Amino acid sequence: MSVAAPAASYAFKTTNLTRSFAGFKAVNDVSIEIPRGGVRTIIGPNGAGKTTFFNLLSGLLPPSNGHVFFEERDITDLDPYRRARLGIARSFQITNIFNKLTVYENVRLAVQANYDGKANFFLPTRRMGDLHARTAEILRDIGLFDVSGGLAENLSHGDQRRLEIGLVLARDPQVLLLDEPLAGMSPTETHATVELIQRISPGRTILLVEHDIDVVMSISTTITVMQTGQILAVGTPDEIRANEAVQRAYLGGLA
Amino acid sequence: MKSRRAAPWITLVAIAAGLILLPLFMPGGSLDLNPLSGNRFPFHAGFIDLATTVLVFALFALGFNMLFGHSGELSFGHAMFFSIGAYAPALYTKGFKVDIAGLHLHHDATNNGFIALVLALGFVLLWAFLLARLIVPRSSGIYYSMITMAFAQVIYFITFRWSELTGGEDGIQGIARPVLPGLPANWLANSTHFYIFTAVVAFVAIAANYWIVRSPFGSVLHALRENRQRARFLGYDVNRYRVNAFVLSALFPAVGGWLWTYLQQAINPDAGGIDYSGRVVMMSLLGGIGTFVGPMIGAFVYWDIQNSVAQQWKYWPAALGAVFVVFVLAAPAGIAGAFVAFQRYGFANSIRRLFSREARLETDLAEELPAREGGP
Repeated sequence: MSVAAPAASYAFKTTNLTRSFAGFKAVNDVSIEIPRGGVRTIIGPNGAGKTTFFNLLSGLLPPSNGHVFFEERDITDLDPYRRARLGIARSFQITNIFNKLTVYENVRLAVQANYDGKANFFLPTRRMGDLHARTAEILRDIGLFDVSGGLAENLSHGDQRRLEIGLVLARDPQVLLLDEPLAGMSPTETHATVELIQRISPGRTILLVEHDIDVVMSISTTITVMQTGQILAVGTPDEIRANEAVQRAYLGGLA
Repeated sequence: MKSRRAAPWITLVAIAAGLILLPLFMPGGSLDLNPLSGNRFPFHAGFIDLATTVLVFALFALGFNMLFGHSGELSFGHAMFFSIGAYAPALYTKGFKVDIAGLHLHHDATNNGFIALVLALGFVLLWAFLLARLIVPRSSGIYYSMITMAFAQVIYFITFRWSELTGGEDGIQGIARPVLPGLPANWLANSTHFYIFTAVVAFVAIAANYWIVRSPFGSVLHALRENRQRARFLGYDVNRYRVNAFVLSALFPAVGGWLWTYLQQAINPDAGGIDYSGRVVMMSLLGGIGTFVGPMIGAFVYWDIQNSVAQQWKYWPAALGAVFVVFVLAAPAGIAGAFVAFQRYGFANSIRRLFSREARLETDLAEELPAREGGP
């Protein structure tokens, strides 16, 4: 151990993290460190507690017990908007965008959130630096620049999922929590989205919950396997593939 | 790239024109161009007080719409702000003498309309802020509506019961209209003059409201309306915006109440009753919730129907109810919403959309296509 306090080596750390729903422990006494950087994927059968774990990290749910740390800081009691300001951004399993607003307004609002509490919101946006330039940049990044005048609800499912990633990117977050970003996508859309995730991953930590096992094996730095609210195994894709406990519990017929 | 919206000045010029022309569209209103009539203003003033009433309620609806239409939260007690905004200037102007908890409070009659306005806004600001801090973190949806209604009832019963201060059920009468600097003392006693005064105040308030809902703050309100959770996870302090929206939306009914007191030169507890809270919901829905001009159009239509039907038929609320039902069923976006639909789908298609699901799908698809062109 070095003498000087190092910058946190982990993005998230949890200690004895537990969340019960009417006695059922969806996340059960999880103590884990999620290292900085890379694509960290969480897999597990339905009901394993993956989404609940995400909800505890992002603050949607308070834990029943235990703590969540983000880069040495205890964020257990922090409201989601404060976590967002620390650089934690998340997407949801069910697409979560502003349906009745235009694609442009969706992204602009996400970028504008960076100025909440800093700029006077009763004055025109031109005082918010490069708000529009940054919005356009993100729209190009997610490939929706040309359709930005249309309502978000009129986008295809895949485009909506990508729009949500765009919203999540607007704060230039250090950590992204993506909950099944590929769910319901066509092969073409999946390909484009995987490419997008790989493109934005350098310099960031990406936490992924995903069921598409081929994608998981190809883009993950490490894989965490959850089962009945607990961590079953952590390792590189190859290690996980070779892990007998994981094979028994989950991969079974798939691998 | 940005959504299609009229340039700001076009909307404001249109509103100014509407304010000037409104008296002509009231029952009995007409141009008076006869130079011998001795009328310095080209209106027949018979129903001009009704036009003033429309403006008062337009301001009331404007504030309500900022909350319900723009940020998506239904307050079922906004009449409390109208009432406080009306009673504060009434008491200030008339004076009062009360003994409360051993204190003898005494204020002589005064006549400064602008201090009265500051008092109306000040009391409403304070009350709305305390209330919002109390209810915003604790409730949303139907509970929010019920709690706002409950607090409005508190204000209502204070005005109803505290006879010593408020005159109880009878209210306060004989309130003098304010004197405007540089004008004769009784200038505002004339209905037309009072309409002009109201229209000027209304224009300033409408412009301020327009500025707010189009500002980045207004965009955040739209974000809250569409998806509060998403806004929160983007880093917006959602409850702070909800409190601010509540307080700002309370100020417009306060201005309306202030004018209402002077228009009627009397005030009674009805101003804060459930009936008024409900009326403003009805006006907003009728005119078009969430559109900028809709609720003001709603106020106009409401009073026009009430006055034209009430003279012929004593069951006039039934007529109003029928119109309301037709709108809720056929045009939930209200009158302004119907115009938006005409502009978007064409008149014939808009009517077809009412009756045929296929027509709706067809026109939606046509709407969607331009947005997809040139996509990835």
